[in-house]
Amino acid sequence: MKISYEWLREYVSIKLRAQNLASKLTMAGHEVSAIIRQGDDFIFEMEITANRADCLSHLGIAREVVAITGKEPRVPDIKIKKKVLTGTSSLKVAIENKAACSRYIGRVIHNVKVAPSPKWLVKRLESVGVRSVNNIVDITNFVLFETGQPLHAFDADKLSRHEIVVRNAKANEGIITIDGVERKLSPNTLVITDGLSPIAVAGVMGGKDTEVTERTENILLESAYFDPVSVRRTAFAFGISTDSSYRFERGIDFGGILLASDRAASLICDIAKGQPGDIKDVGIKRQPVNKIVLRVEYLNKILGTTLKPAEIIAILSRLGYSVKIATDLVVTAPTYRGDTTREADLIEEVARIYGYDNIVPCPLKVVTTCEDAQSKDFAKKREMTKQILVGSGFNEIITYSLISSDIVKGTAFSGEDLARIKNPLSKEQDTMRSSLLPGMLKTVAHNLSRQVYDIKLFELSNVYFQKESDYSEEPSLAMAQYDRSPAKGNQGDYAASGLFRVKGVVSELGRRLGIKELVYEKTTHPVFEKAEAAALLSGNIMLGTIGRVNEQTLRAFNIKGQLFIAEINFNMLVARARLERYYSPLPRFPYSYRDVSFSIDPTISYSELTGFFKKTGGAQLKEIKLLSEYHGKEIDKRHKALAIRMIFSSKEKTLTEEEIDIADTAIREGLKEKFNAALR
Amino acid sequence: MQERLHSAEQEAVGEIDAAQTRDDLEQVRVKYLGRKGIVAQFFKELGAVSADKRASVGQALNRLKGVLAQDIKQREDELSLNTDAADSASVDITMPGVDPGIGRLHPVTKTLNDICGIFSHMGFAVVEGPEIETEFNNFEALNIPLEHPSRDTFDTFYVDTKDFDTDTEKRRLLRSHTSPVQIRYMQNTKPPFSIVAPGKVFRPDATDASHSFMFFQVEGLVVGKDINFAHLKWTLYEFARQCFGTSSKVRFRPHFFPFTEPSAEVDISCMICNGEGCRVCSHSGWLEILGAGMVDPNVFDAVNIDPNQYSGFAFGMGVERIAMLKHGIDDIRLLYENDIRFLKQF
Repeated sequence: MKISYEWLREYVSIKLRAQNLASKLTMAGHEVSAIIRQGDDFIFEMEITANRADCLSHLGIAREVVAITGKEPRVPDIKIKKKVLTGTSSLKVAIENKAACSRYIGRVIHNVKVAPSPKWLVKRLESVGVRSVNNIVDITNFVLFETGQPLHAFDADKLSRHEIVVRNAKANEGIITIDGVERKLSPNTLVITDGLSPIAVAGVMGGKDTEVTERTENILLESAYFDPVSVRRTAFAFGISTDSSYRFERGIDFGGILLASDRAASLICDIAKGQPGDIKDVGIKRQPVNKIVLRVEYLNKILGTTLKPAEIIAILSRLGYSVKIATDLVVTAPTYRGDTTREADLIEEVARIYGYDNIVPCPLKVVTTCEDAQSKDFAKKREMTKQILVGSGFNEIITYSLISSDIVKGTAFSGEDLARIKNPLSKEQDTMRSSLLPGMLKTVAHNLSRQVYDIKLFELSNVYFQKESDYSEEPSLAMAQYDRSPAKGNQGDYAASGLFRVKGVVSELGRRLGIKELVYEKTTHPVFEKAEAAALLSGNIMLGTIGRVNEQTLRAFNIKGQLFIAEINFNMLVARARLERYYSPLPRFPYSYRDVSFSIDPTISYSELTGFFKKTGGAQLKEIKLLSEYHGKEIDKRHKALAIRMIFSSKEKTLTEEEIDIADTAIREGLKEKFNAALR
Repeated sequence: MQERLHSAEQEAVGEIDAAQTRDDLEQVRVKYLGRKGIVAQFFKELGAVSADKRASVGQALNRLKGVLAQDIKQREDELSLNTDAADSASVDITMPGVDPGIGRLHPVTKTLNDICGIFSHMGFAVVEGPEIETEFNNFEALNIPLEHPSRDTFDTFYVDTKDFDTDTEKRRLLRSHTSPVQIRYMQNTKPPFSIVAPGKVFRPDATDASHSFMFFQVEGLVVGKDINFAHLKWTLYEFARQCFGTSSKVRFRPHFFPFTEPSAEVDISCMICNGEGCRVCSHSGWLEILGAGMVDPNVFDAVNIDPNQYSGFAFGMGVERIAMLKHGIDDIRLLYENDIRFLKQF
């Protein structure tokens, strides 16, 4: 909202320079976000909080300046000629929906001369960014920005009958508003009618048919109180917010309705040479007075201050409150402070004017609060996981939880259980992700488009599902490693393969989290290549999947090259994680190594081989390690070559060469006989 | 014999000194001290020496063996010293170190960890809540009436439910702030307590350099018998000091939030211009980083805590804003594009 420094000075004497006044207002809770110099005036761009409807005017801000500076206010001069012309018929006003309109003042002013406004008036309106229309419309706007009371002037001669009926619209009724838009009215819309048809949408906008024009001679001036919720619903339904609706929604000063009408009438008589006519004031004249008990001790307890009753009374009085001293203070709010209804509201008012700066910080003796053991355990494992992945060279990413329905349409990411947004901002964010992969793939594509090829990423965030009538969210972990070179199938270098690098990190994560029996089983997955996808299991529970993203999916995201991904249900992973560690005593006797190289039918799996090694090698075969895998010219085309290191040791003694030879030979012979391997 | 020993020693010492490489020296060692070397030869001859001289010759032989071994060792050290000197001249230490290839945590995660760490050390518990919330927890319980202008600042994404318009109880939304965690915690915990709640929140804001429809907040809540505004000020001063440095200044401006009263917006002195005024702080010298206040009695009522017995304060801050200020990031979108060249900088 714009407030003119010069205009403000009409209602309170201000010695402060604009800049200083602005910072005082800011520190009293009315933030001046900008000061714009306009000729000899300064315009304050102010952020008035939703609770302070009373500050949406120059008089309102002037009242705050009075409270802050302690200066005396100046009230505008209101003179209305006593002589009243009643005209041919007297005005009738009726309110049918009293809940939505508790008071309506209609006032006729005769023989106005509609003309351009005087310079001072044009200048005032310009200072708050309002274009001058004619003297009548300008005066209603002026009084709005002066007092905060929205007014409306109708051309009285264009009313079908000389009466006002405030009621809800009937089905099929409509109106063309001043902005030229034809609007359909619903039975929820409160309208002003002339007894026959709507002439204004109450509190929001007037009708085109009855607007004041150059030919207008007699006007009907409206000053009323419309219910905030009713106006808010109507403005929302029309998708508009006007200076009037904005104020009604926040609640106007019940005690200022007649005053504003008088003020406008006085100016119209003065400037447009009108003659005051009939006035009808219908509805309740005043709202019930709310007496609020304010306990001085409680105030000091909440603020951490030692304010005395006299100091509190002084502050409240300057703000326009009347205070009676009983056991506690009994406070009555002025009519324009509908926002103060409780003790807490008054405490805030006192703190605000006393100055937050003047409240001395006091060290907090925190009550040490323990975290729930289960959530703390989860948080710890989550943190560990992130650190392990970072240590393994993966960069953490955070992508949007909302994705485009276009991305998931027809892909593996669509499904019955997708949660959708009722009121999306755009199609880009209308669906809640059920997998981290779309965001991951998008991020990979983004980096590739910026010539970044060394891509190792992970994300640990929630995914969302619709479950029967409710929704669920659960943390998911996704990792991706990119390889620019084209896929080599099983002919590539095993150690350089992205798939086995990602698998290596998953296995390391499993070891670090203490997950027993992490097993990889071949599987099919809609996003992964058929032959290069595995399910990650522990104790027959599926934790996730790992694989090479298939061409079709890569094409959809415009990615060339190979992308290896693991996606893990993080709750499942955490549930099986055991962080306790018991150390195994170090071996007292030396290790012996034997390496064996052989070529073998590639359909024989590594896990099959390791099973054979363990069984044949016996208890003294402590460990086996894959040293290398080879495909190529030096061996049978149909074979793969493996080099495996066997590590022998015993808990009881140093093994002799002969003892190791027995196991070694048994394995070598077994490889030849059982697996038809060629030893190299 | 003694004479032969003496001349052999002299020759050997000369050859040791003359050796220029370890290979040379090794040859000398084999020649004199090897299994079939000169010294070994002398030992073989010892049997032929007369019994009365045998002891003294034996002693001399042992001495010779010791002296030569020592000389060779010494020469070896000299040679290896020289070798090291020669080698180090050939290492170009300005060559780059081998990249250990370690990844990075996302800057938002790091900032979240920093913020929560500060409060954690003060004794606050870190608690989390769900991102999909009920209208009650997100609005009503926090004293935000359904049809009130105070809701305008909390535009909210709703999750599409079948009977959205009829069954308001079952309506679900994406929380627009972390404050519902306050409600969940207070419903289940008896005061006193001190918590912070980090998390992801959503608001239907069009994305631009300073707005994102998804962002992170950290919420704080302290409830006890005698918690007051002066405690709130101290806590946030202490936070600012630890988060932004000891030279940062803090100011509390009155503001309005439905769930606190009195409410404040908290500014810190601009770290870019040190409060002089610059583009980042819109020439005010101050940067708004927090909203805070004393818990509104209506909020206590909603969770059945007696406001006459207990008081409390709450605060909330935007994590991206703090990350952006601390790292000089001028566009929030950078945080969610996840360009590796950006991520690698933290």
